Amino acid sequence: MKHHFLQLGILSLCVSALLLALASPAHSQGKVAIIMPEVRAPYKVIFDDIYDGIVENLNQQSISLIINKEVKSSTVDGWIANMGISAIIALGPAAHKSVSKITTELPVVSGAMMTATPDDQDSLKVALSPEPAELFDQLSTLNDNISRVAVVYNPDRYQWLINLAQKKALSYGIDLLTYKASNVKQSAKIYDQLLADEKPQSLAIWLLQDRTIVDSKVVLPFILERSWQRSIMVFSSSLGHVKKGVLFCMYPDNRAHGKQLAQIIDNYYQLPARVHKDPMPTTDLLMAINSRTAAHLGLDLNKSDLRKIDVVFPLTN
Amino acid sequence: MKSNLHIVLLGLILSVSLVNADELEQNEFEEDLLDLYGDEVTISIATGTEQPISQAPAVASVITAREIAAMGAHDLDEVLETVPGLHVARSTLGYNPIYTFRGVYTATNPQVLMLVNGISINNLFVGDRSQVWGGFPVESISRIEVIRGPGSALYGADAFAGVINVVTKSAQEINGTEAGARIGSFNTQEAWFLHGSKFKGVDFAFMLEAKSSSGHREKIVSDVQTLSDQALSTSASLAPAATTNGRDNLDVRLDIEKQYWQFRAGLQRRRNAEIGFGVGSALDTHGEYESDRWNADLTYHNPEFATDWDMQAQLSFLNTSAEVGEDVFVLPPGAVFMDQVFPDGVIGNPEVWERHWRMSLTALYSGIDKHTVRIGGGYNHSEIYKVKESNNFSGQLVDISDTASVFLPEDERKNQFIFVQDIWKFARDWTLTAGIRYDDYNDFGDTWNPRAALVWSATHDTTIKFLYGQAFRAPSFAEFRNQNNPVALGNDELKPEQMQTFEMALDSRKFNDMRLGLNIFHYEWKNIIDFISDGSGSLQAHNQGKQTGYGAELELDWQLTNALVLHANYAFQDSEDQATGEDAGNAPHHQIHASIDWQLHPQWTLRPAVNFIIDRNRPPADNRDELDDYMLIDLTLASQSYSDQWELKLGVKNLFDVRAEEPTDASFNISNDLPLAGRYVFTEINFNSK
Repeated sequence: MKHHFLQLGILSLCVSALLLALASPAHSQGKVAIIMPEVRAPYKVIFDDIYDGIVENLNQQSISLIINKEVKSSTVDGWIANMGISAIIALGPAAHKSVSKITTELPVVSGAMMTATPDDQDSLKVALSPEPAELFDQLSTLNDNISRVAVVYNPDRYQWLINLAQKKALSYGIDLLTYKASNVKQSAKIYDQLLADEKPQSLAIWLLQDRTIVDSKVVLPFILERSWQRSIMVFSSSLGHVKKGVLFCMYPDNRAHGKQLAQIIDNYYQLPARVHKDPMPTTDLLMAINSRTAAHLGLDLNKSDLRKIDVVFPLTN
Repeated sequence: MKSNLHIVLLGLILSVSLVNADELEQNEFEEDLLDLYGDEVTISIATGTEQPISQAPAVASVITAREIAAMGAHDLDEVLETVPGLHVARSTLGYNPIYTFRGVYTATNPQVLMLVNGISINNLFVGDRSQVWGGFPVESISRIEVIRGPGSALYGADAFAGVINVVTKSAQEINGTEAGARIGSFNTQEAWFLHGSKFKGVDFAFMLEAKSSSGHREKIVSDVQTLSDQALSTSASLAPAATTNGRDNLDVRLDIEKQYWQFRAGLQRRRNAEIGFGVGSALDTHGEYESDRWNADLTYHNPEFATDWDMQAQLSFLNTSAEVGEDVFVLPPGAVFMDQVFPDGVIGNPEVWERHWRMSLTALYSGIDKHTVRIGGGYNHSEIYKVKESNNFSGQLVDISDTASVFLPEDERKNQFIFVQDIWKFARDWTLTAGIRYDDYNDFGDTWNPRAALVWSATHDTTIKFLYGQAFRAPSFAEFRNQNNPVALGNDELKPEQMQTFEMALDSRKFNDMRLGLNIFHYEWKNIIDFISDGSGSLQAHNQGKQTGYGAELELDWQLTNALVLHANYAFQDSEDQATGEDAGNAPHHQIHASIDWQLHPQWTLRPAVNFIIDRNRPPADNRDELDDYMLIDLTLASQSYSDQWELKLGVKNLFDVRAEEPTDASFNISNDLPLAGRYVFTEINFNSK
């Protein structure tokens, strides 16, 4: 009972605060709402960086809201209506989901999406998946003999990314070999065949960040062992893979990801009409490399090369 | 994070609502983030919260701030005790640490080089870190790098049995405010405040740590005076009584960084530092020491100074003192000394002030295919610029500073050095590191010290290293210049101690979620400096000893489940005094350390840890009974708030209040050894604004 009184007290306090806030002239212009999930450490710092990237680059005022499992969409709906919001940036799938349930004419962009799949929500989505062109670009820089890139993917999660990658691969003269799989058993068979390729010097394997395809117990150790033996280049969209021995990966610069979201909102009405609802990949990326694997593959990375790379594994030798 | 306050407020507004979003979905999202980054440590590195560590071809252990916090450590020595092949024994003087690497044990422990941010803090006087050490708090530490074995080819003097490099936190790493407080047994209170931020392109970090403690008090039944009492039928000894170990510490650090330039300064102040078991193993409940250790350095580091050139220039300063706060009683009131009765006790108050200026230039050249060459040189000027002493050996307490009777003359030491090292990737999967350093000293001459390391990436998950290193230990000023002390006279003919070590190391990640490390070593330590009889009844320093040893270290890190990680190591060493053919003594032959990080709940962790010290012989000519083995168990329970901003910690060290002892000096022949602290219970609260 006491608890309810406390809640009522806090609620009335907050309603007063809200009324005061609404009465202030600053809010009459409309603000960009940044809706983000309550996440625990150490994941919190990822969102903090994205948030800072948004606020530093947004040409409009913003107000933020942290949602947690206690919050329902109608509450978010009410908050948006009352706060004089002009646009919404939702971070992560929980925020995206809470926004997708409300009916709004406001511009909406969802960022920090992990395995963003097209859905009916008419919002722009930016996934944390790296832009394939950036990966191919880096691959070509490291080894220009690569003419084929093989990727195994789960179409439920990554068809949108593979469609994009197919287009980008052409401009790099890369033949993208795609294989569908929906579980580890299927992917293991495909990797077994791929790693027995007759021309390993022209092949590279691209691992997606998807534990339903590349698990850490069986498939990844197998890929690492076989690719080492046959000197096949393997790159990834996951930093964790590089730590374990994959040659390199590109991963999001979180602050720049925030900037990308801010720019989308600032230029929302100037953006070309959207022809499909696929997510967009992250374009501002950082790079990690495994210097031990690089040395094994005969890639001579000197100190000045390594300085341009954001994280070099192994961290200790 | 700019809008924390209103975010929290609005979160609070909405948290009164009752409907749930999908918690499972949130967990899945966190797992997706883990897939992206690999693990929580990598998230911290990728987001700049932790700094990656440079690779070293030596056998090194690296302990990060995250690991230090997880182990519930309050002092550097607690962390070092977990390193395989390193046991922290204790001196009777103020419980000063004796960092015993692989069987290399001496009372003053000058065979270990300690660096703070890569700069030596070893003292000239006896070659240790300070006679008034008083501990090193861990809250400002970013990481600790420990190299077992010689490192003189890079670091010069005293990188002998091992090197300990303490790296302090940068502004970027603190990135906001960290603060906390701790209370514990023995009337211990600690508090700390760290702040790091960027202002107009300049990174500022400020770190303050304060501690006050009455110290643990362990009972001593018999001391040196007890033996004297028995021989002379006096009753002067304070024993049975407790050791004294109280102190007040203040540690302040400043770190300012802009682009290529970094300025760091610090003070480690020790006050009311009690004596432990007494300066000569006779209990002293009155004496107190003091120390101020000031340090500063200006560093220029440009990784792209010119094409293929990385350049670093550094100028550093260290001023350190060992002072007496309250008269120090060598022997208690009523003792007989030099055939006289001293009704007020025998007082001896030696004090030393020293300063060190160092400058160095290091260049890294990567313009030759498959080679990375490091060349450098520098100049060190060190001096004991003030020596004071008062004593009552004549019956009256008199100040004999600046007289011929003082125990040590003021003097200086100059050292210039050059070094070169090449890392050569001579074949696929093979790297050879070879280096040599030349040191020239004004007082004992010059020395060359080479090292070589061959590293082979044998398979995708196994690395094998073969290492050779040679090192020297500079004679301390006490060994070189001590005077008027018939049991410790200096000798200006001394040569440096020498060490050479062969090692093989294997690192395997063959088994999933498990890292296995194995090192095997053999060392030869010669020209050991010891105080021996000069035939006139006095003891004088001479290069006379030789010791050899071999051993192995085994390390295991095993992620048993998502919530359970095991860290374990076992170290074995066997060292022989070549003069007698007997065991060198004092150091444990076997040492086991194990701990489990157990994530009871996303916000709760429990860490049980065990440290087992096994089989310590007495050194040759010490006929006392062998030391007992001991096993200490610690428990730490931590609870973090959801955002990790707040943390509450409860812990107990030496849970079962085991009587654990470290050896006292053989020459005193007392029956008592040095008891370590009994059960210690603490609680602490931490705040981190990140």
